[in-house]
Amino acid sequence: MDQYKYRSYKTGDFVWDPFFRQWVLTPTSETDFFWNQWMQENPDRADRIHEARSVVLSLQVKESTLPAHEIEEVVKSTISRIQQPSSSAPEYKQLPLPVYKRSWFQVAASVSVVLLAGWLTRHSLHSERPSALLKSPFTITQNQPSSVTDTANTSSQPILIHLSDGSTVTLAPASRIHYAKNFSTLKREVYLSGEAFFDVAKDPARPFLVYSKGLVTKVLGTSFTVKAYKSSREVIVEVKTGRVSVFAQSDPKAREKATNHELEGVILSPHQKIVYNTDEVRMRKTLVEKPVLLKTAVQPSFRFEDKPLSEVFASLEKAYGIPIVYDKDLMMDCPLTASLDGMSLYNQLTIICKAVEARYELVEGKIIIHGKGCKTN
Amino acid sequence: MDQKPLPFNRPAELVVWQRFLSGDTVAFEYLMSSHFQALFRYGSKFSKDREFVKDCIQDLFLILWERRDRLNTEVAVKPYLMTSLRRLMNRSGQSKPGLSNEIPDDDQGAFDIEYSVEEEYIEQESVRVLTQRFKKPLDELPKRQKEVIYLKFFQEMDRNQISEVMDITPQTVSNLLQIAIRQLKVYWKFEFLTLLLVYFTDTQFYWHHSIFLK
Repeated sequence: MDQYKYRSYKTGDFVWDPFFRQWVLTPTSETDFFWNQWMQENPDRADRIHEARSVVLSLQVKESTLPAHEIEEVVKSTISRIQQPSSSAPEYKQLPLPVYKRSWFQVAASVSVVLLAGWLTRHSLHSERPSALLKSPFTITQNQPSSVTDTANTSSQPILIHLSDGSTVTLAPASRIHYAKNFSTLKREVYLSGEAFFDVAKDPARPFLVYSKGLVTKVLGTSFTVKAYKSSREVIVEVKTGRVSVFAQSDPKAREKATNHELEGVILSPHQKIVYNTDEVRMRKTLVEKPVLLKTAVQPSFRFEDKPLSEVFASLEKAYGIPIVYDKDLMMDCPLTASLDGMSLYNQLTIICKAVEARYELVEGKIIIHGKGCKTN
Repeated sequence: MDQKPLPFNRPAELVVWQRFLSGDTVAFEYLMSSHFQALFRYGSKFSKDREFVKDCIQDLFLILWERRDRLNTEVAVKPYLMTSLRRLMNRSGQSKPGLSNEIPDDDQGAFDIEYSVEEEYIEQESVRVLTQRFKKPLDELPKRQKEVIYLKFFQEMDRNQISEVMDITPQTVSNLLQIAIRQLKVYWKFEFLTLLLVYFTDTQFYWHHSIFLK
């Protein structure tokens, strides 16, 4: 920004200067910094700035505002129209619309979009459509569709949903869940499209099951996040507390796994997450991006003074609930002095590894330490 | 339930758009709800019939849904929706067919906008007078210039987005903007001189004055 051109500006020039307007209407720390400094250096222009500011703020476009309920009505009626495909289609076919503008290149581009869209629809059909839901092997309540609640979050904020068993679901924006108003006596089932965080009330007799794009997540009482966006090929389950089991809906033993009271399939512990690729039917277990400390009465301390590595690893394992695998013969006696409070787990590991000339990797939700040890130096 | 803060980010525009294209009805609902007000406001500049504007927005989303497998996956969502609404209204309304791509100057388009002076920001009477002075030339601009000013300064769009929305070349956008701003400033400068003579307030006056004295 050339601050000199503004010397010659009069009030009217400021009013129609995009950078000035931007500062007045949506200030950021950068623009604040620039203009405050400019005013300090040019105190004789303060009046112009002040005037221009008032003008920009008070001169507004007279906008007509539609009340929220009216918007909601139109949106609802539009949604119901797209859900009965026969009614809306034909009369619009002739209307040309912008963007896919007239070149072969774009024709080619849209063909690939069609293919992709087709692929996606084919893949997600099973878990998305309510009608298809009822035909899936795990039905909510086959005979009374009215007792199924369907909640979509169309706001830009997450919403909190209380289920009849005391569990809560935090539904991310642009996501939807279906569930029975009253769960059966055998199991609690929820169908998810999009992303949600589940805090499940403990009830070992009635497993809690989340169906999302072919993946079943089963818990007895815990909290975890499921991301199953229709446009993505992956389903991600991240565990925060407790343990959950995860298996594919296509698993021949899926029905059995869903109803028994044990956790089978891939078991996830806190801070582990699984990425289920709907493309390859393959599960990849790994750690969440930012493991946090387990909830305990006392905050653990990570200040070590000349402590053997085995003790250091043991305290990390305990604090995060993540198993650490290392060669005890080689490394358990390596002495470590370090102050690791207030750091993330991965930073702590990096520092420890540097100190003992080792490296770590994440395998199957565990931390594996590779090092040569420090026995005879 | 001790932890209320929620770990989600607001979904990115383009992600929602792509989910919409992939046939996700939740994304459809979200897209429509979150843009409705802005589209209604923009549409209201072309028609005072609010039911007509509402219908057009509904049709717009139905058409986009219908054609989702052929739409571009990388678009600036808001300008794109505005462009599409504008065209749709042009076709559905009784306005003249064929908006030309040539240099527009006259009142051919139907764009109409009203400015108001918001009292809450006005501390002194002089500011009200001043703001009125800015409002007048705005109201007197030809319609296309009005729209370009509206999109540039009140919707904060860049040249390419405006050209997309108004269906004119970026060069035409620049030309229109330049003409309009010159118009606004000329008017203002002229007014300003009279103001200067009356109030003796501008610092430049003192500056000239002191030179004169030397």
